[in-house]
Amino acid sequence: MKRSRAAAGVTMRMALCAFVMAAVALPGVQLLTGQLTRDQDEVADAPLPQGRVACSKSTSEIKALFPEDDSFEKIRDDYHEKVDKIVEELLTPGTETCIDSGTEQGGRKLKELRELGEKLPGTRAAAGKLTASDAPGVLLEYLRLYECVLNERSWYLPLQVLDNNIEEQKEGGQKSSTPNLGELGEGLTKAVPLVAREQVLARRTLERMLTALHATLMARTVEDDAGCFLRSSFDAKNAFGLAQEASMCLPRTWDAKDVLRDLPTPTEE
Amino acid sequence: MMRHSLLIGMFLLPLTASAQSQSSSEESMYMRIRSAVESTMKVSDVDAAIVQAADELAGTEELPLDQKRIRAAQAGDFLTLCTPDSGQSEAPPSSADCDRLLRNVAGFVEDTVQQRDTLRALRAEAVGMEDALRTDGSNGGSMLRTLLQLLTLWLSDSDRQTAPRALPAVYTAVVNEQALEKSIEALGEALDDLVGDDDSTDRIAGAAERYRWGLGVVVRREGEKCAAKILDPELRYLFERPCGVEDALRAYGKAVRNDPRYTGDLLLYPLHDIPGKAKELGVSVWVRGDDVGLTADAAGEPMHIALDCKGVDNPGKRCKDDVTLGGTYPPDPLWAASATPLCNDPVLKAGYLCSTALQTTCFPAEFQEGNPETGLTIVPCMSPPLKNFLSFSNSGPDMCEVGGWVTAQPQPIGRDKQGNVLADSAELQPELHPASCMQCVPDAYCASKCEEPTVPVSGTQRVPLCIDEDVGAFSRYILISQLVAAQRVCGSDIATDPRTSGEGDSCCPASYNGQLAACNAMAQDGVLKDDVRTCAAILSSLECTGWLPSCLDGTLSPAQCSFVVKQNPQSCLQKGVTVNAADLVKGIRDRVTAKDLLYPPPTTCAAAVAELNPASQSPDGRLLRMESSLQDVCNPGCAVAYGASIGNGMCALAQCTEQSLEEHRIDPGRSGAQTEDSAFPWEGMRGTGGPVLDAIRAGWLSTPLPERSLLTMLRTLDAAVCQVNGLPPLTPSSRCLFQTVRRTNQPALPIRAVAEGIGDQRKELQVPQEHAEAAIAAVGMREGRQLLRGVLNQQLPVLSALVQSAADQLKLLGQVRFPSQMCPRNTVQDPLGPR
Repeated sequence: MKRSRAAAGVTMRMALCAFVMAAVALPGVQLLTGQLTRDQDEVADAPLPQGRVACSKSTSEIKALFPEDDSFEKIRDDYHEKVDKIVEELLTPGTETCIDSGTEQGGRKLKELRELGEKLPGTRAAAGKLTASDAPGVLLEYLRLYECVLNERSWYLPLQVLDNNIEEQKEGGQKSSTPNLGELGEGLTKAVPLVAREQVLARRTLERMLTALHATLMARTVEDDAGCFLRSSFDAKNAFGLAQEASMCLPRTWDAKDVLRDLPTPTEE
Repeated sequence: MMRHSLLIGMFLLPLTASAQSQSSSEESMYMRIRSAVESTMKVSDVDAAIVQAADELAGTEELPLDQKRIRAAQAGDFLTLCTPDSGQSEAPPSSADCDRLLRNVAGFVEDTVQQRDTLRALRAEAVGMEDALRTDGSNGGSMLRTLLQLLTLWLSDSDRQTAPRALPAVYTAVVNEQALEKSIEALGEALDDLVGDDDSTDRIAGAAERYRWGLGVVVRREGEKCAAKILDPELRYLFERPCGVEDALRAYGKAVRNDPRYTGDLLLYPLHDIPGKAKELGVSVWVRGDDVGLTADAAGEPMHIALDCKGVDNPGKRCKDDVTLGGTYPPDPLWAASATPLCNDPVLKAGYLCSTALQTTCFPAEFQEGNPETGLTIVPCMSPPLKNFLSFSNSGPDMCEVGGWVTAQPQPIGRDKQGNVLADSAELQPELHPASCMQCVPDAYCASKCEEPTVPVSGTQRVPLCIDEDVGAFSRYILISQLVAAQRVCGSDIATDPRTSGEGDSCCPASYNGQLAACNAMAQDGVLKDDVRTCAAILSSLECTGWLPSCLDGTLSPAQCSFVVKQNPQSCLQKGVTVNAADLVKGIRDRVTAKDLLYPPPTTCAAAVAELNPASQSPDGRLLRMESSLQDVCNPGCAVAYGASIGNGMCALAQCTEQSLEEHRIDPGRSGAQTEDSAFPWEGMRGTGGPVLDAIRAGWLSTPLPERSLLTMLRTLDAAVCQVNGLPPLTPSSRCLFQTVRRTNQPALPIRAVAEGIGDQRKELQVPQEHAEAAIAAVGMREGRQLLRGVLNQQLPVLSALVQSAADQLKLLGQVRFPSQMCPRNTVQDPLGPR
């Protein structure tokens, strides 16, 4: 986040922050999402055990997924687009790779899912082996990180709006960096509900999506296995067909040796 | 050899599957769900139907309630809500009136929006759960289809005669897209006609719900006439029958099925998009061999309760100002089990909602080695619990002993002396002869007392099958058991029916399989609710004691029948086996004439015999297939037709091998024609060594595949995934994988611990993921193993033993040393002496 360090802005920003948080952001966000917002610095400074990712947009893993410089709209659209792609990929029937030991190493090629899995700290190690049945876990983890970003954005929203306002004034050629309170209020009125709504919408949408896909995803692994078995069954069917064709020759074989001769007598033997 | 292959379309599965992706509308499933969720969050327009209903209820000429005012009411904006439109001269309502209006409108809209959202969520859950299990090629996974195809591929039709409620064989077909263009467009237009003036799509959603189980189901239940009266205001969209849509569906179904190459028990065609509004709603059309209908994907819009009751006949108090009032609960539909849409589905009708769940019976033996300290008792299971299980012929039993694996002949297999077709009648027909290539011909007849034994009549190969006239509606099942008996003796010169020889030791093995086929048919028809094997054990016991007709026709009470089964020395049950014969006998006697049977049996013996005639009004395919299986399989010049499945291939292979071993001379000898019936006179001189016909002891090939219980499997999986996470079962189980609120619901202090906890959750996620992955894979593996255990482990060794025997014989045949002289016919050296 770009920050103006203009002295005149600091006091104003703090006051605005306090006001907006108290009046709009905190109660709404907390009530809607059931999540708590956290102090960014406290979390970032905390000695986190190895492998953990702090729920902060300044964490490198989250930054890689949701770049800090991106606008809220871009982050939102990117998130939904990614989830959409993964869901479509899951719904699109693929050709599973059947190998000797079933589909463990083969399976459906889920490019989008595995690509996201690579970026998520929790699934990075197993990203290459992710299957359709892992998709809910991966998507929920992706949602969690997205919500982290949303929460922080909502926390720092007044600052963001203020910065934008000051930037706009500078770009407009004004020398003073004092924010325009009218425009500031208008900006906040637009931005706050947008983020708050997204905090609810993202989770509810994904949960309903997962509910709708639940049986399909669970069945996919079984279906893949059964699909491989089905294909080998076709081979078995053909093999039995050939064997049956061959068996039709059996009577002729017996008759071929049915000659007008007697068996060797014991004396001949 | 002519082989009739039914599996034309099975190689074309990907084409069918690809319809899934085609069926998604322009907007993806995820985005449609997102839009639906958004619609409840006051960010998009309220549904047109809600606006209209609100206007009808509370709008006035001065203050018509449109989208703008509804939004104002939701936002508490008095000014916008209560300012009359420009040009209106009336004064705005008072502040108190406006407040009342605002509260009423906002409350009504809020409630209705929430109700619609709940319906969407419930539908997503229900359809999502069912999608993988549906048979109409719906948008979900095709697990059921794959497993059905596996069963189709493996099962022989003999298995279907004995497997409890065997599922139908499923085949898929492809369609010519170009030929469907007109009819699919017509269907799209017919559905677009349902869009209301306000762009409401409720009627399309209603049509998708209505024809979900098929147009045929609707017609069978309510008659041919479309455009029926609408009596239910709330569910009016469900009960509407738009003639245009029904005609278009019929025309589309006809266009799709216009290919005579495809046939089969259950024929599936690809799901197809419908152009127009239906596509936006995720509504597609499906076609089966027997029906055509609509379906919507899990993100599809549900059929909402109709708010508009304009045009409803006699709505009574349920309607006010053309708006449906809430709070009324229509009575549950009273449909017989056989008339419910679910029970008309060719696969789902075998489920527990349409018939009693099969018992997985274990026949406990008397042997019990209990540990008095722990209370644990080991009880061995016997299956079947007969004194003697199978009889053996020279080369083992016929591997597909009950018959039924050969495709049904198109005309009766009986002939008169002149070779003209002669159908079986309910009388004894001494003039009946088998058609060429048939080993024998069954002669079913009805009599008050059965005297003719079920053995081939010398000289004609006619096998009399007697049915006791008094058994009435059980005639069909007696005929089935008699056909199995005919299969056993067909082509032989046996003179005594082992079932009437008066000895349980020979009767029980001969009776059991026939009764198994009969009991299975009863279960398929809905007569039998108990376990098929238990039924077969009891009925074969009754048959061998001679009391079967008396127990079926009611001469003996169920208690007396039970006494016979348990106490008669000729009973087939092993000592210590406990069965509830009285209940079973009572159950089938009560149900055989019930009105809700899926396939009610004919009530007279003569009508049951008529079912054996392919030219009759309602032939029974099972009987026809069993009769057709009485033919020579391996004789030169004889063609045999059977469905191309592994099981049927095994039957044909086994039958051919057996026939060779049984009928052909393994030891070389003289040709009978040239030696004037004195072929092989030198048996005694064969000496040691050389190829000999050893009795080949093979087991019984017809081992039905285990039943699939997919829903149970999914639930088990759900439970397993949740269990490894230490949570109670939740659906979907993905909720058990990750619980955000677990941490955030905890007290907020200290904040650092909460933050760390949330960080921990990701790590926690790893372990459940691994467990879940293992659990899911394990379920898939278990399914595969069951198939392998059911088929490969039991059937293949049996078959391979038989084929190996044949191969050994062939190999030995090559080692025969030929004599140097021709046969010394009619010489003094003939050990049998001069002729």
